Amino acid sequence: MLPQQPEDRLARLRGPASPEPYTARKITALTANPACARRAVLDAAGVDKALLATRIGFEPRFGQSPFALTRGQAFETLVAWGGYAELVSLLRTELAVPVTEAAVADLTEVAGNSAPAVRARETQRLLERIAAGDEDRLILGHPMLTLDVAGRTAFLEPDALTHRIGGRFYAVEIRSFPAIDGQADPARTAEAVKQAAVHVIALRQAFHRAGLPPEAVADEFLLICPKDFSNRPYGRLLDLRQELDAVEFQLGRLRRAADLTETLPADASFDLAEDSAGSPVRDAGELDASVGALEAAYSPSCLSFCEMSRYCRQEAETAGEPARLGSGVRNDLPGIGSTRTALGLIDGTVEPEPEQAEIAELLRTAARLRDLRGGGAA
Amino acid sequence: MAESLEELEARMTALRGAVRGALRARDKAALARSRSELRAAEAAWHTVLGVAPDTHPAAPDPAQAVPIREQAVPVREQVHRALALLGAPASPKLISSVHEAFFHGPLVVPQLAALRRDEERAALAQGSAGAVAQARRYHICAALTHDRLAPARGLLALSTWPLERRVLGPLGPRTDFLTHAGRLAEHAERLRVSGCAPSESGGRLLRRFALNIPGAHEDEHEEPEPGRIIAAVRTEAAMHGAADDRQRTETAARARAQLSSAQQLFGVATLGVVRRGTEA
Repeated sequence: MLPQQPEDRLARLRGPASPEPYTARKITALTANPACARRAVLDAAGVDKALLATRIGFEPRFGQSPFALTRGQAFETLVAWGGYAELVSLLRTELAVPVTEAAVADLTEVAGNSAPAVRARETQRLLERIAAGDEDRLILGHPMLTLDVAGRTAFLEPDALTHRIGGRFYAVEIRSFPAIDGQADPARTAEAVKQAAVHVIALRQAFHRAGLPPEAVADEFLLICPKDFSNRPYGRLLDLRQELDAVEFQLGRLRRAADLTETLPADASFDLAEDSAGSPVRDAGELDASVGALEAAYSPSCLSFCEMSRYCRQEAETAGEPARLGSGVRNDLPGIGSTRTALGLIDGTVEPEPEQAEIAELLRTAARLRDLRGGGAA
Repeated sequence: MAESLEELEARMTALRGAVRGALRARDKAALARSRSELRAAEAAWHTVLGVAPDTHPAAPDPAQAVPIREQAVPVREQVHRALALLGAPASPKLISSVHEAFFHGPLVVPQLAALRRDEERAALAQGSAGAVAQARRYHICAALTHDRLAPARGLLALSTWPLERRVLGPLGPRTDFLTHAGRLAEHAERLRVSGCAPSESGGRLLRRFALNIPGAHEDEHEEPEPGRIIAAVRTEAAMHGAADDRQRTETAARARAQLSSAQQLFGVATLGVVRRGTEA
């Protein structure tokens, strides 16, 4: 359990607003850039990052495309059609589930009530009964799992669970990107794998709470996507072990997000509240200073998932951080914090530190080669 | 023509209200029905008054009235038709596609979703619970979940079915799916025997069912064969039969013992369930 003090500090940083919920998406975003203290603290404090970014003048310019959302929902509806008929026949043909197995539970709502807490309780109850052998279900549709993230409860909703492959539980992720000849888009598959890892960890915690062996949850998950150019579902089991380790490590690190706030000045705040006149309690300058006091680890890939990314990009540009030019450039300049230093090392205006001697030599060689090729467009 | 002038005028006012209501609700069937009734009432009013109704849009002449009545089948009647064919509780979307495939055109899905609520309200408005079942020939009602006897999400059923057919255990979604497939295949077979070619959407719907039943359909590109689907449905249904029947009988008995007749149709109200849920 967390000590009370840092938790208070996170709540104070957020101000009076109610905390933003943790989602599988947020947790996986953290694993994509584990070194980013800025995102870790803002998420742990439950700050509305999109609003914060807007206040300090960097309105986020992305969101999920409504077309992609509709497509995703349509495909999921198709898989769930007729009492999960498509999923049932997929499990039978691909994973040799016997025909006698066909019991389904729909956990989208509990007797008309779709509150996450109610659904989570119902899911936990059903999982316990299934594991104890009192009930049989081939498919659990839209279960609701909980996960303690930095001392707060996150509600997570995998698309489905199935437990009839070798008697173990498998998470099922339904995605609408196609698998053409058995090959799916690697980037989107990787994202699905990360989210599945979060779901599996939550499922294992549910088992742990119920006093059941967490090994009953498989290290693999079932990814379902449209087959080739059709609307027929296609499924494969994918290994999760590496991602499980990565996400578990991240979650362990998140619990220390409170420690990261210790580097912040005492008057730092991310309070986005407005007073009765409708003007912000904290002005943009104060917020900017507080955000700037948190260390970020910008890389161009941040632009695709983080609301704060444009702020961080600006900051990286001002500071001349090599990462602004991509992780390739960052990796080519180890131990050099700024592109200005790198340029200085090349023309000799900056004296290399002892540990920079090797890279300085490499840089000068590269510059010489470039000059030999005519200097201009190399 | 037994009605007096006053009665006719009262009826005309009520019908005008109904026309407005139908317009607001965008219910074309109800609109056409109310309007034709209104015209009939106006014609009758003119007759009683002794004025020739010629100046008005003509009273529906019998020859015209037939097509109007044909297209003005109320939504609940259409849902009844589709459900009677399907033989088990079904989602509004499936009802709509069945109606499109085997009757006349698709139904408006959101309208169907609202239908169950309207039917429940109508049933409750008819007063004492005992009279509910008798008041209308049938109701479009809910399927009940086996654990809480609450209305199952997004399913419509017919009140004329026995409770056993309207309860939904863990195997229920699958056995209902098989029932749907079997009934549609039988219908397609009947159409074939009587020489009617099945519609394109009918073939598509049947293929979708057939592809998900083992042994019902081999080649994805060929027309599904009704006889083969029926045989495959029987084979799989026999596997689930015993367990599913036991669950259905047990749940139905519990529902009869615990629920009022209105609750047997529309399920336990959500509030009651929430209270029970928090006690547990």
